[in-house]
Order: sequence, then C-alpha cells, then structure tokens
Amino acid sequence: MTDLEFQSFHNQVVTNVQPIRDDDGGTTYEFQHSGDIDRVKLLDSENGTNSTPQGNKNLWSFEYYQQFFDVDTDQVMGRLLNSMVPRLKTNFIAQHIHPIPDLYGPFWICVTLIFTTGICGNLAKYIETAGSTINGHFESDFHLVTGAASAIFSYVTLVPFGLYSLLWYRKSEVQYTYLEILSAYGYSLTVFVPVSILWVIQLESVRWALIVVAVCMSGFVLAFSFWPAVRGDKKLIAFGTIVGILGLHAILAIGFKEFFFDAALQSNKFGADNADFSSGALDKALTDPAPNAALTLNDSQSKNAKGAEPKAASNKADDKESSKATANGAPVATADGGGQKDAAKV
Amino acid sequence: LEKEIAAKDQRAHEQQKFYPDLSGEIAGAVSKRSEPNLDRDFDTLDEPVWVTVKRDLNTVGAKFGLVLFPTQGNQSLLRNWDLWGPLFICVFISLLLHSSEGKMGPHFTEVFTLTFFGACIVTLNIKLLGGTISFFQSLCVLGYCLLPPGAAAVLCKVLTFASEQSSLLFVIRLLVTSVGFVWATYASMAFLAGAQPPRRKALAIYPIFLFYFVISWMIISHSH
Repeated sequence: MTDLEFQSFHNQVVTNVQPIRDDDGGTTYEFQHSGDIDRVKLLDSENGTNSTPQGNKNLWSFEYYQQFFDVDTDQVMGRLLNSMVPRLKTNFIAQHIHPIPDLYGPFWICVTLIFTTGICGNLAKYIETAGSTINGHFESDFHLVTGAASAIFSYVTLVPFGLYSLLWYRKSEVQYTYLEILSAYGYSLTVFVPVSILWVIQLESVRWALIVVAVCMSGFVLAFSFWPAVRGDKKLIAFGTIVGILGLHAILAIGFKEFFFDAALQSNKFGADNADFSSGALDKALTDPAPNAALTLNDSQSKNAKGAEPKAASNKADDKESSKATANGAPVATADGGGQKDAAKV
Repeated sequence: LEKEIAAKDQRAHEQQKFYPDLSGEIAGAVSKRSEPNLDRDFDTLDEPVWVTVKRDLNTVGAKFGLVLFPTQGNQSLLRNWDLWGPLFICVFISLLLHSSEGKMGPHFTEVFTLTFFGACIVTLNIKLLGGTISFFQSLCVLGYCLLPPGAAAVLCKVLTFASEQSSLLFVIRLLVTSVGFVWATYASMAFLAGAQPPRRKALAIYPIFLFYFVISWMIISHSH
C-alpha cells in the first residue's frame, strides 16, 4: 500500500514540481513540497469543475466561441427547414433553437444571402441591358455586395436587440436570450436565399408574389415564436410587437427588391445619379412606416429611422421620385394591414 | 528556412515532451534537454542569399504543383505550411481584377480583403466546428488552392484583349472560370476534408464552396 502511494507521488513530482526539485535535491523535503502543491492543485481543480460546466468561459477564449458552433449537419438542416414552415402552436425558438442557439446558421445564411443578392441583382441588370442594347457594354456593380452586407447584418443584429430589450423591459413571461433571438432571426432569412435567386425573373407580378409568400412563411414563424412571450402584456403592445416583426420583415424584402433589383431599371433611364436616387427611395420606403414600428420597438430602431430621415429629406424630391415613393408606401401599408388582420386572427 | 528551423525545433521539443512518458524518470529528460544538439544540418548562415531565395521559391513552386494534381494521400502541404504562395496569388488576383476610379468594379483593396479575410473566416469556421487542423495550415491550403481561379483570371483577361466582346467569348470565359472553380474546390477538399468529424463535414465544406464561388463570380464579371 505504501509502495503504491510512493509511486503516484513520484509521478506527480516528475510532471509538476520540476524547478523546485532542482534546487532541493533531497527526497523527504521534496515529499512535503509536492504534498502542499498537490493540495493546492486539488482545490484549483475543484473550483475549475464548479465553473466550467455552467458555460462560464472567458469571453476572450476560443472555447467561448466554439460553443456557438456546436452543431451537426442534420441539426442545421432541421432548423433551416423549420424556419420556413409556419405551423400553429409551434414555437420555433423553444422547440428548435432553445437548448443551444448556434451562430453557424445565421452567419452563413447572411453571407449566402449577401452574395446571392449581389450576384442575382447584377444578373437581373444584365438581362435588362441585353434586352434593350442601349450601350451594349455591360458592367457589373460590385458595390451591391457591400450595400447588401450592411443592410443584412444590421437587420440581423439590431432588430433582435430591440426585441430583447422590449421583452426585458416589459418583464414578459418568456425571456429569450439575445442569442436565441439572433439565431431565430438569422434562420428566418433562409427563405430569402431562393427568393433572391428567383427575383431575377423580370416580371413585376412574380416578384411581388414571391415577397408575399416569403414574408408570410418566415414572418409567421417569427410571430408564432414571439406570441407566447408578449401574450400576457397589454393588447396594444402585444399586437404592436407582432405587427412590428411582420412589418420589418416585409420592409426588408421590399427594400431588397426596390434597391437591388428594380434600381437597375432606373439606372438605364436616369444615368449617373441613379445611386443617390435609389438610395433616397429606399430611405423613404424605410421611413414611411416608421411611426408604426417606432410605436412598439425600442429606441434603437426609431433612432435608426431618424438617422435615415435627414438623408431622405436632403435628396431633391422631383416628381418621379415622389411618385415612386408613394408607390412604395402603398404596398407596405397593405402588407402591414394583412399582417395585422392575421395577427388578430391568432 | 526559418520555418524549417522552427519545424526542427518543434519536432525536437515534442520528442523531449514525450520522454518523461516513455521513460518515467526525470533524470533522463533533464539531461536530454540540457544537451546541445550539434549535428543540425540547417546551419546556412554562410550561404549566398540567392541560394536561400531559390530554395524557398522551389518549395512554393512544389506546393503549387501539389495543388494542381491533388491526391488524398499527399499531405505534405499540410505539414509545412507557408503564407508566401497565398500572398502572391492574392495580390496577383487583386491586381488583375482591379478596376480604375469611376468604374463600377471592385478596387484592389476590396478584392484583396475579400480573398484574404474570406480565407481567414472560412478557416475560423473550420476551427470553430472542431476541426483538427491548425489555423495557418488551413489558411495555407485555401490560399494555394486559389491557383486554378487565378489561372482562369489570366485566361479571361487574355481572351478579352485578344478579341471583341461577343456571346461566344462569354461562354468560353464562363467555361474557363467554372473549371477553375471546380478544380479549386476539389483540391481544397482533398486536403481539408479529413480534418472534420464526419457529422460536420458538410458544414465545413459549404463555406469553402461559397468562398471559391464568390471569387469565381468576381473573376467572370470583372476580368475585362
């Protein structure tokens, strides 16, 4: 028995207390030292095991971020599919995201969407120029990609932050974490990847139909997951939140169509100042329903909308632009109205 | 050369690390560590600079050759990584695709950022998913595998200079670029696919596919 103990001690000395051993030399002395160090190590490891399983990892360590990418292929596929199919009494966040919200899906969905929008927006433009053959020489616009990137990433990070602070501020029954909401929003963009490819088709009616279908599919998945959280609140806030979620989703889709796919139409007619023009139109489209959104969502969004307002105002509003803006405003209003009705049904 | 030294050092270090486990006795390990290793063969301080440069260029060239004819078993590209090849090819593609002020194409910095940091993000994704490969090894593989798209970019540029813009030319460019894209994706998978647990292989492969797809798209739309 004593032999066995001695053996294990010897191993400990070899691995742990080398520098001390070099100085001391004597074996009995060494035993005392290593005993103390062992006890300290034991305490340390106890503390360690207490903290690690609860996910209390250092914010700057690699493992901290690794836990958000801890998903398998079939898990991601399941989340992708379920983010597109709304079912009554199904809570996407609680049933599919909840145990471990991942960032793999949202990040790569956003990146994919950025590039499909950039590529297909250019493709749509190419088909148009090839049809008209005004200048024959087609030049693809790389800056659609950077525009799409800022639009998508700000939508996916800011809107969940607004919703999270709303839930926290109203002390709602179901408290989702920020990452869960972010994950849900990221996955809700899945449906726009095939839609952005189909937007290449040069038919206004097809594009609008796609928007309605896509927004209904993913928008209601989001609405059904947030309904349990806001149900207990005042009627105005509960319905306002749901309408806000659907409305912002619709604005994103319509903004995409106007800015990345229809802007090409304008650029043929107006030439050089098309970039200012279309961005102005987009800002208008964003600010028009802003009162509706600002009613329910927190400061960050309304601040956003305010930031956009002066830009739109500074743009010279000639007849064409104002008519285009009102054309934008009408579908937004109808989409919101539809959302409200459906939300009321729920 | 520095890399060689570092690799040698690391190997020696690893051997030393394993010694206590093998012998189970401290005396052996200590004596091994203090003993200077005199018969190292990388004492190249007195050789001409040109010889050193030529040797490094040869290593880079050999790696490009590996990318062109990828085989599953040949993993030497993974073992001794360097970032010279990726740097060359990134700068080269960015210069080719750079469009001057006032045009709608990307600038040098945009292409360079997209290729280099794109590779970084894809690598980070592999690491975060739990891949058993070091950061720079993966970066090295992704960079070297940009060679086929780079060659496609050169061909497209030459073709546009040689003849008028026509739909036949566009079809040829499309073919060349897609061959480059498939080649790059296949080569990088041959090197990287083994580093993932099988349940997550698709998750690691998709970003690689997307990375080369985007670069090929830039090449086909801006190489004129």
